[in-house]
Amino acid sequence: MVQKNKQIDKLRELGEKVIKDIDRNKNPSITIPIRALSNVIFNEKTKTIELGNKNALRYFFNVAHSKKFLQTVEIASILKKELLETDKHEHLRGVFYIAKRTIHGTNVNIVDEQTESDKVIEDLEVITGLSREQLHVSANKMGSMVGNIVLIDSGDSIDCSKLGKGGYSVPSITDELVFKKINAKYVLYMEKAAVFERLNEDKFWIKNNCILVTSQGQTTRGIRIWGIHIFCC
Amino acid sequence: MKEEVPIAEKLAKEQREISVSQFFTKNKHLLGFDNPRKALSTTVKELVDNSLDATEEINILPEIIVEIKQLNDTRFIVTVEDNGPGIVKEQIPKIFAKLLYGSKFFKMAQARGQQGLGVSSSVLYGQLTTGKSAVITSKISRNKPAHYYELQIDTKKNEPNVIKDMIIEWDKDHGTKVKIELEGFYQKGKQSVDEYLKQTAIVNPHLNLIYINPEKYKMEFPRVTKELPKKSKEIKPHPYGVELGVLMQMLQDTKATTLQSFLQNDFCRVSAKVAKEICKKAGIYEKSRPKRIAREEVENLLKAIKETRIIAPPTDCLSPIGEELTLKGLKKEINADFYTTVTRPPSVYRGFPFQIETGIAFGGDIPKDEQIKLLRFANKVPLQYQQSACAITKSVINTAWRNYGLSQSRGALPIGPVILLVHIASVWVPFTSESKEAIAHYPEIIKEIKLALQDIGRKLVVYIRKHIKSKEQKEKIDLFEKYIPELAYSLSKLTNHEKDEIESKLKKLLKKELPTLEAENGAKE
Repeated sequence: MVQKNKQIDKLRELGEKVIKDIDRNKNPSITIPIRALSNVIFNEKTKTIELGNKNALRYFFNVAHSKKFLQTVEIASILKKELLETDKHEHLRGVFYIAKRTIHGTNVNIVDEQTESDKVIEDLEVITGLSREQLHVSANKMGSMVGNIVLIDSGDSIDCSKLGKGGYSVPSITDELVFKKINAKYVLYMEKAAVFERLNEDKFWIKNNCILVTSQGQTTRGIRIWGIHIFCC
Repeated sequence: MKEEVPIAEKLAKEQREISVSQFFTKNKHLLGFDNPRKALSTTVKELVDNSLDATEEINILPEIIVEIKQLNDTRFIVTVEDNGPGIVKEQIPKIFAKLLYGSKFFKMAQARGQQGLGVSSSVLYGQLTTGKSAVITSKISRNKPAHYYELQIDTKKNEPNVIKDMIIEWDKDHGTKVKIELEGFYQKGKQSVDEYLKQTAIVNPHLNLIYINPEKYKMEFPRVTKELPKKSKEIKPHPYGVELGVLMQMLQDTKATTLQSFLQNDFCRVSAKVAKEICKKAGIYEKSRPKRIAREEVENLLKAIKETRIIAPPTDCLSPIGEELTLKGLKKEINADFYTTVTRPPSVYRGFPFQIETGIAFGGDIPKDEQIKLLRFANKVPLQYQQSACAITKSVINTAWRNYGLSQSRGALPIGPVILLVHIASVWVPFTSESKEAIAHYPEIIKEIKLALQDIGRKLVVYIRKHIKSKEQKEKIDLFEKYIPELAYSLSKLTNHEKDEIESKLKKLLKKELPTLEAENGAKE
């Protein structure tokens, strides 16, 4: 729960800043790091690509910004009130459905297309510096894993060497997985599920002492994050 | 053995002269009498055109009264009365009851009529369909009596047949009144008499027109300017516009005694130097007698003309409507939000000067989601038929209207709340047929029309952008008021501050920010 408070605080911080602007009789604004090629830096030390420190300001009293501003605050409040405080998760689509409603007295919707709410959630990720999963917006669950590894997932201990043909179904949020025991030399990752099934059938992971992971297509955020975690430990 | 008659002799007996009137009896469609409906509107058109030409000739403001009386389902009497100069007694029968008789055919001057066919063909049509005579009353001055004629056309001889010739009282200083009875069909809407008169009123803002339709409803098209259009001047033909047969005829008819003086005097823009150059290029002695030049030599002469640089004909002979008067005309007859007009500088095709004018009415009562309404005019006469065959239509279709704020699919007229007027003024408008319905596709003409349309398109798009954008922006500003409670609600959820408190503060802030927001709008325009 300690962690969750941090996320709630970050979102509230965003709201408090806006309130401060209003109290100072200033045009309320939100500072958003720019996500464009012009604001991308290669970090030599960590050998990763990182966001630079250029920011854009989103104002409420601006004809071009106001709707986006409203969307940002509205969705931030949804994440805080409906998800984090009640400890529930929702998919992008679900957040879109919660946010989609008509503004009173108009025929304008807060969001019309899911792409709008998706964009705002991305904005909130960079504003708070928290990942979407940390904000309780999960991605689709996809992918499987087998191998000599024991995980703790929501209190259940799972031995991935005893899960038959299907293997362990990787959840969309992998931040909270705990590695209890790892007894493998390497991880073999493949996009194609068919290859995974064949290698599992052949018990390739036993002969070569490795962990097999597939994502059934493009790598999901869950598997990427899981990959970072297992690389680090 | 019986001697056989050669077949050629038999055939020779069948060969006979055809009079023009007989020819047109069979080819009514060539003159715009294809069907009863068109016949009615063509008759009105020919009579009104003549009246306008006549009043323009003597520089007075035209007062025209048009009346159509319906006798039964298909029978109508058309009466057109004007305040023109009138017609001298001797000329009346020939003007109204002899085809191809007129003053305008040989004149190189801008006029509505060209061929001397219009009125007499209406008379002929009336005569053919009803057997009734045309009734003409004309008076040339206050001191002279009015002449009353009942006329028919002798279709074999193409000569007038005077049925009645009287002197009557007419309480008018001068003018002409023509009454023709004919088979017709009256309908409102597109291509109707009503529409023709309305369009005529647009391009003739100096005209005062009273129209009584078959339903006995009286419509008035009031005059909006007392300014008379610039009188068109007559010019001599330009050498570039002349063809072999015409040139040969001119050589025969000329009063000049030498070829050089013929070229100098009978054409425009030919100086002594240019005349000598032409003679030299053609290899003909410049002092030759024009009447004695052989056919082959005429061909050389024509070739030499084409090879010689001659300045374009003078263009001050044209009488465009003018940007200001076109604007007045549009405003008078069309209810719209925005009007603009463009008059191009004169240009030349085949040695004939011409000038293009366009006007646009946008918005207002004009339907939004339909193709634009195109009004075509030639020498201030509305063209109502054969829209698709006309060079004007082609030019409009070939203009990229999307650049000018209208939507347009390929090969079609653009879509939008627009009435587009295009007028071509020329000393000789190249029609595709005698009924004067469509303009021939001369590249020079199409190019000029397109330039005019692009000019006016640029004016239109400036308005559209400004108008539509400012409207959108205003709506957005109104939205702020609706956004404020929403933002207050979201913020209170996010921070536990009181919703009402945030809302009232935001409302205050809006008042403060509003001038800046509106200024931003202005800047964006």
